[in-house]
Amino acid sequence: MKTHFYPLTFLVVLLLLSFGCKKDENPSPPSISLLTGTAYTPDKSVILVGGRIYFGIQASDPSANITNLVIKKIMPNGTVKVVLDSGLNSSGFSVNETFFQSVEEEARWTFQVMDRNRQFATTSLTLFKDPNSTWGGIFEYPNLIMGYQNNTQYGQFCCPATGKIYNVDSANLYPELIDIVTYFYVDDNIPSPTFSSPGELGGGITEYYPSIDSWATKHYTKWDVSVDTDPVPISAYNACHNDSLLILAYDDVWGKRKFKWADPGDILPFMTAGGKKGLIRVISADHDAAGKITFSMKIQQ
Amino acid sequence: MHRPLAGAHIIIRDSGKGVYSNSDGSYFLTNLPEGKVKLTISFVGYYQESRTVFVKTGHQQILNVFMVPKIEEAAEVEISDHRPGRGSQEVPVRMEVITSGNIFNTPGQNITSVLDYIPGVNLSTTMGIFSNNTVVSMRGLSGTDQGRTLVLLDDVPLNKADQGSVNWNLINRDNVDRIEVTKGPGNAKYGSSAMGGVINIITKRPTRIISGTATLDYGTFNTAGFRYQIAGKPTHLEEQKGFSYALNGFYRRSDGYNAEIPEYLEKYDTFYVNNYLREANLGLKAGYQFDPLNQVEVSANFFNDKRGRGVEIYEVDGAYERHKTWQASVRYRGGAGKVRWNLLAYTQNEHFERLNEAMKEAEYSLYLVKSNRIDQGAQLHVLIPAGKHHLFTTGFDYQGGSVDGNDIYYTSTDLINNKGKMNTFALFLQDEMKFFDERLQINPGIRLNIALFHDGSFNIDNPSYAIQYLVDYQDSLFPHKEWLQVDPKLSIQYRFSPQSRVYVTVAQGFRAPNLDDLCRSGKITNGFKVANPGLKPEILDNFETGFDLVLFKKLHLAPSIYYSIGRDFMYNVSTGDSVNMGYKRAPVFMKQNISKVEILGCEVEIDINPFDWLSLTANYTYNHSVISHFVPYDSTVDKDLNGKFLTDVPTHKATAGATFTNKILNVNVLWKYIGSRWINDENEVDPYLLVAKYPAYSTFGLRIWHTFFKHLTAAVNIDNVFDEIYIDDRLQRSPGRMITGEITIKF
Repeated sequence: MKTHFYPLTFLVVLLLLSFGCKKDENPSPPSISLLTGTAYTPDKSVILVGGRIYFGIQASDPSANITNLVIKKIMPNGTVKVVLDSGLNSSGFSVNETFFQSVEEEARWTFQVMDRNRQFATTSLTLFKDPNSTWGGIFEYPNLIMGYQNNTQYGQFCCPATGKIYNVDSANLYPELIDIVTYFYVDDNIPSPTFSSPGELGGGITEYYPSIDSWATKHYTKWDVSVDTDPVPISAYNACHNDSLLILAYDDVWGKRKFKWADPGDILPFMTAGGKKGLIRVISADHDAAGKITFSMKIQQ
Repeated sequence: MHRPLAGAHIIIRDSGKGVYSNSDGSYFLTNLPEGKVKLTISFVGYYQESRTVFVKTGHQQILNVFMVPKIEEAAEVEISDHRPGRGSQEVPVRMEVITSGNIFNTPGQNITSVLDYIPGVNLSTTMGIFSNNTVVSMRGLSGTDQGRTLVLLDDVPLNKADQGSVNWNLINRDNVDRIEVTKGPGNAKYGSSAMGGVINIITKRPTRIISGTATLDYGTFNTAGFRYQIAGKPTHLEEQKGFSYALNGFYRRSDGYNAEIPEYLEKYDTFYVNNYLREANLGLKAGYQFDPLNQVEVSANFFNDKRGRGVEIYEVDGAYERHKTWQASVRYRGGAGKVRWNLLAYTQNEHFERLNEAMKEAEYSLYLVKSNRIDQGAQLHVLIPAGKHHLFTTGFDYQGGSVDGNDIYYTSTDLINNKGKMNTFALFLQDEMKFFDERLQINPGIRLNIALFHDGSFNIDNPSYAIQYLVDYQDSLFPHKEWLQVDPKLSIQYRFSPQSRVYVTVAQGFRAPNLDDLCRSGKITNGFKVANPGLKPEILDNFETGFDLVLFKKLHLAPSIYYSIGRDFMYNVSTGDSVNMGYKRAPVFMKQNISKVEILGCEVEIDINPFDWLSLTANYTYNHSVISHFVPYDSTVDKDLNGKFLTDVPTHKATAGATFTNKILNVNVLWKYIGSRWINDENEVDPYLLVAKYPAYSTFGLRIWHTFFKHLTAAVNIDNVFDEIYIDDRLQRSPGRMITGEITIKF
């Protein structure tokens, strides 16, 4: 009979293990708040178009990790514009985020976190556009040439404010000026002329330019990759002589760490770490790590 | 009425030695020890018998054994020759029977390893025991879709209505008595999914007061396991009545291996880890036999696993897949007079979870795919002999499948829900006509299938910016659909001798669409898939002929040739659209009906047993599977698939093996060659692998074992002896060589 007893014991233990543990049915929701202080933009602020908006966001959750942070603007007519939708996995965080005032007259900014139990917490504030806002001036550079990582003739580092191109040695001396870096690689088996920046998230850029690792200042430029689905018309680009198109073309939520597969004719919206929005129109792009990329650029002054 | 059975296996229980009965049913046992000798007589399709004889030196005894056919198999599975790995020649289709002995002798970790050496069978499981999506397909049908091969466990379908998939991991290989592999759609008893064929896994049943096995194993990647099987029939063993029970289970864990290919990784891809596994299973079966013909049986099975997906970023166990599966069935086998019946009701409930954790271009994502899949059914099969020449099999099948699934995103607000139900009803009638001393057999059959799709829906709560493209595909209630299909079948065979025959089969197979294809949109490997509620069932017309020939009593030759035409063939086709995922543009796919697919194939198997201690086997399979007529969904963007080959089907496949048995050491060596296979439906160069076809590869498997003191067997198993590495479209590589030591106690 012992032969029968042991399997039955095993069965009972297995059933207890399977059904013995129950999840907490009423987990606590996360909490979120905005930091206050002179550094941060307060509720009801009035800001010039292009003006800097600075938020400090603090969130925590006693029962589950926070996995999502969404920041969106809700206009009085109900239009919703998501400006940040980010994944994370942390029991809490305190983070600063910078945005720049766009053209809407009024927007309620909402800050929402969601945890692993899909419980939400939200806070919000309202900002207004300064009625004295005017379109700003832009710098225009009709023909810039940058090299890729193995190019010895053209530099790979660009200061968009001045339109100056630096090689690695020069850039190492002035890292605080550099917002744009170019390199070439093959991604998804497709040749990929690439625009990036010294602060590229994940640090993959140091594979091509190892000295960036030691830079004290690594600016992070965001590249709007929605160009395929929402392209800027070439006619609009050519006609643009103030920053209106630059502000409207850049979509925060599509701002990624680099722009791959840059092809002639592409018009890429971007935003520098300093909040300057710009457009690059690719004129030509070699498919060789020793090659170069030619483009024109317009950027806010 | 009673006729001799050729090929019945008579085993002397204590020694394990045995003989097969001759074509007239006779058998001879010589040099038996004096005293009480226990014999076991078995034959596929019949209940096993046990007898005790008292042997006296110099005396000859006659022992006649009447064997009782099993109702569920009697119509189709009367096998005159069931030597290991050998097919049936009494069934007018190509059929292979794998015995528990074959399974024990085969180097491999899972039950699917055994199937890989069968001609016409295509196994897709790059990651071996670490794989969650093993597909066993047959007869040149696409190797990525399990839904065209029906898999049964004791007659209960394992294919789920949701995706047609089968969780092969839940089968305890020690609990398998035999596997019957019926190729092609030639049997009226089987309906939806049985297009490429049927794999029926039959578990062990009690034949003695108590018997069983227990196995401990340990091997590569710190893989350790324990599996057991116990069965008993405490009372009235000889009278074939009374209570019986069976219990089986297993547990296995492994540290696994890192399946990523180093060349494809970037410097900062540090989160790829081993694909671990943990799995456990428990099965129970209890029955009561009233008399030799009438028996009730209930069974229950529980399986729980967790398999790592090779990525660990923040989550404790990283990305994983988990199945919790409950199965239960109740069966009544009965008979009165000459009529036999089998009534079966079953349910399979699978709670599936797949946690996806990924870091792409420095952006973190976490979401859980969760599905509750319920598949229930009932069937009544009746066997009615009529006159001298007819044996009718008729019956009714019902299957109800449902899915209630969610893609629960944690790193975005999306909550994607999909639901659907599919019911199929079938009536079938098949006649088994035998003439000229049963040499000529004609099996006409017809099957009426009705399939109903209903309660399908797809919706998204809180869609984020990234999946706005899916919003257009929402539908709170997809249109109700119903299909009616009549499948005729005809098989004819002429037997020149008990082991030589020629056969011809013309049959039609039917398959209803999967719920997943009808009503789920979401991420898939290398892209996105959108639901197609307009999908229609597919139909396969199959023409097949073959013969079996035994030469010099030692050599068995079994070639077959087949030609299949698939109509409205369901196939994953790019819609031409793509989705901006931020770091790449992912192609969008939709399952569509392709007008016509043609498959021309052949297979040949040779078995030679030159000596008692040596058996040799070899087989070859050829498949030419092409899309012969394709009308694009949108001709402005879709690629023309006319003339393209089906994916994951090797054009050439070959295996060979040798088994040496002796008192000191038993050795089984198996070799297989898998020819190149097309990777994608366009037959174009894969952007990562930089080739259009997976390269061909070959592997060797080796198993060495020795039995001590009749009950204890020690074995060493080496899979993939020469450490051949091959990869799949998810850029994951095979585990390479796996060495396992195992100890089995049999009682």
